[in-house]
Amino acid sequence: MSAWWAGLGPAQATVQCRRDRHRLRWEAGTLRALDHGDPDDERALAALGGESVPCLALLDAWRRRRDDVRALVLGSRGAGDRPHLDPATLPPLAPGTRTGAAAPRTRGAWFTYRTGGTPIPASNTPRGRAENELVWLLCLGGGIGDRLIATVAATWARRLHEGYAGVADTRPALHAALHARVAATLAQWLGETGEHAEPEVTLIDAGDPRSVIRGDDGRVRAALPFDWIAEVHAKGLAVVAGRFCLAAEPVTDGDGHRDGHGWRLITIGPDLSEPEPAELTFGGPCQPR
Amino acid sequence: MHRSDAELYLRLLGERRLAVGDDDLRHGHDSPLHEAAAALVAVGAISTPHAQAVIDDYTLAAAVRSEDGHRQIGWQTRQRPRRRRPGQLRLSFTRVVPCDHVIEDATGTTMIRYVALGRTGVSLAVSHRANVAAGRRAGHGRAFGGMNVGSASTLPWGAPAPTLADDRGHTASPDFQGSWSDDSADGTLTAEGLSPATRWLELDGTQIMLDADPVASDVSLEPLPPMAPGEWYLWRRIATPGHFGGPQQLDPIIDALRAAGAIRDGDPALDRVRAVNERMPHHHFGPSGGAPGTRGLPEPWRSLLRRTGRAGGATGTVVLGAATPEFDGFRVGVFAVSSTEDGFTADVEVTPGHVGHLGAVSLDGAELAWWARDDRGNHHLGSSNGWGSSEDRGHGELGFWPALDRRDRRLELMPTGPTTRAVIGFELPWSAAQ
Repeated sequence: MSAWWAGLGPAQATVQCRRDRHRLRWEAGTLRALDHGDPDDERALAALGGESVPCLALLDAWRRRRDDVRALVLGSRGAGDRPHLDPATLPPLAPGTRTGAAAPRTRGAWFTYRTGGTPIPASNTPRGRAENELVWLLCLGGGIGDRLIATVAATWARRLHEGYAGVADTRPALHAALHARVAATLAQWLGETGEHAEPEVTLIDAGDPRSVIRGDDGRVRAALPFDWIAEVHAKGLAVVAGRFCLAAEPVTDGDGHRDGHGWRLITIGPDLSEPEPAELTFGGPCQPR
Repeated sequence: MHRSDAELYLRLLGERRLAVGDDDLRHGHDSPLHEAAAALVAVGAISTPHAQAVIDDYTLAAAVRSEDGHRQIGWQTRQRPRRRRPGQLRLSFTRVVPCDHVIEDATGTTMIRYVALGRTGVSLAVSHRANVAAGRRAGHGRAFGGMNVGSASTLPWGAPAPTLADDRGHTASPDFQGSWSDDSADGTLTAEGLSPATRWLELDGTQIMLDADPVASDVSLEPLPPMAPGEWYLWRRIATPGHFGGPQQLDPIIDALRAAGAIRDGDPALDRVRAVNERMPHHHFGPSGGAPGTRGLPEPWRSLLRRTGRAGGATGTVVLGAATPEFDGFRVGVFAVSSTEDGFTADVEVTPGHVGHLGAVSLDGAELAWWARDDRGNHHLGSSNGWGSSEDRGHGELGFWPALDRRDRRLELMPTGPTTRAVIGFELPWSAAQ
């Protein structure tokens, strides 16, 4: 069985780390700081010196957020929908990640005029810090945000298969995440937009038959498992050669190892008739979007 | 409706609004998502924390797609559920003393209307009117609503921060809380550490006697007639219109209630609710803006809407110091009621408080509707003119419409909770003078 990241090429972003520009690279399911040595050693050194290392702060943020389902709410639903905040405008992840954070704008029309004080801004809560980490990672650029979404989606797909204890609480968020990406893909593919054209997306188990049909009322109904996000959408295979992709698996050699040169797809045409298998073959190993 | 179905309903609504680039989604407290969430919480389809989490998610999702969304990252102010400890709700004051004390200085005229004394200290209700001839200091940083509060050692109108003293020898420097503009300020000067039993206060050396009695009031509780949760919630939303007033956008609320099975298509209650909502004024004073005609509307709405825009109220202030027992998890205190030509206001305190955006419908579905009823059978509705709040207490000024009639002899304020309303009744002293 192939690793979930099969077919996802490397992604790389450059960040300001203290006085230098450093590279963060995602490859084969792991985010690394290329311009630093062993992260544990560097953390220990930085702690001794009382300084923070932005690259390591981002690695730590990745470790904490790689199963945070909110990445699927905040992150891109596909081309044409991208978070576009400049990380330089965000509150710092850790002291030194950047300087000059903009003061929050306090709202309301009834404040304490306290002699010797100023209006107190909303507190920076643990949840606020977690959201800040997510936004930093999603807005880093270089495809890192897309890889975070793929990682979170793959993690929760695995948890669904394994019957993970927290799945029931997370299921509405997972269903909405699937709905959002299927709806965005179908709208662009079929050219049907507006609230009246919203498809009905049913979240099915991984082994159930996948389908996209048009009902008698004209409404498109899709039945797909949550796996579709990591397996198809995150890999840029949602629409291939003008056809909607229901399922994708890497082509393997005779021993069951992925050969890196193609995909076996189940696709459906715009008339939403019977799904058909297809094979997508590359001249070389798959490259990132 | 199962909790997960309600959460999915909200998330799909969030996805729909996000897909069309609805900028209102960024203002989580004021978005269609918030309205739907509050409705689902009110009918028990989802808990407040679960609903709030969905709102937070989509507020942030909209923020990261906007040019200035970085201002919201990590800094959002969320509503927190009120902390209700039955039997432990205490108002801040134990007595309220009428006090028409006027201070003239170079900055203008400051009137102290009443003094509230209690466990948390002493509050002086003040109104300041600027001395125009004295001019205003340019660049002092004052603006209505309290942005750019300016110098720390002065009051908003430029006077030095005063010193308060009691008859026990205690002294304190009060904070100002309220609203102000270049020309006027209205609010309270509040100080801790002064005795609630003091017979007088000294304000920068001027003694203010605390020996007058407030107007007598009677306080009772009345249970509300039972009503289906969906219909109850719709009436509640019209009666608690938020900061800007006006008719509600009922459709997202009705859709959510319908999805939860709390109201059905064809329910005659929907026609009644819509008919009232269409007639709600866009502004509470002057021309209504709402649809005309009140025939067939149910009370209390009919008498309220029949007199929309009506002016001609008597002018005067009643200092009450009334306090309700606990009802629906609240206690309410009323310091004073002031009537003008166009309407009337009430200075009130509510415990527990409420942390969230001003004017936002509360997610826990338990905010008070502020009704009033005069002795001629007319109803009046109040909403916030200015409000400050912590988790323990909220306080501020409520503005009621329409104006009182000069023939009114008695008024009842009726803070109304989900199941019970308090009735605070008192005679209008100016009616005896007429």
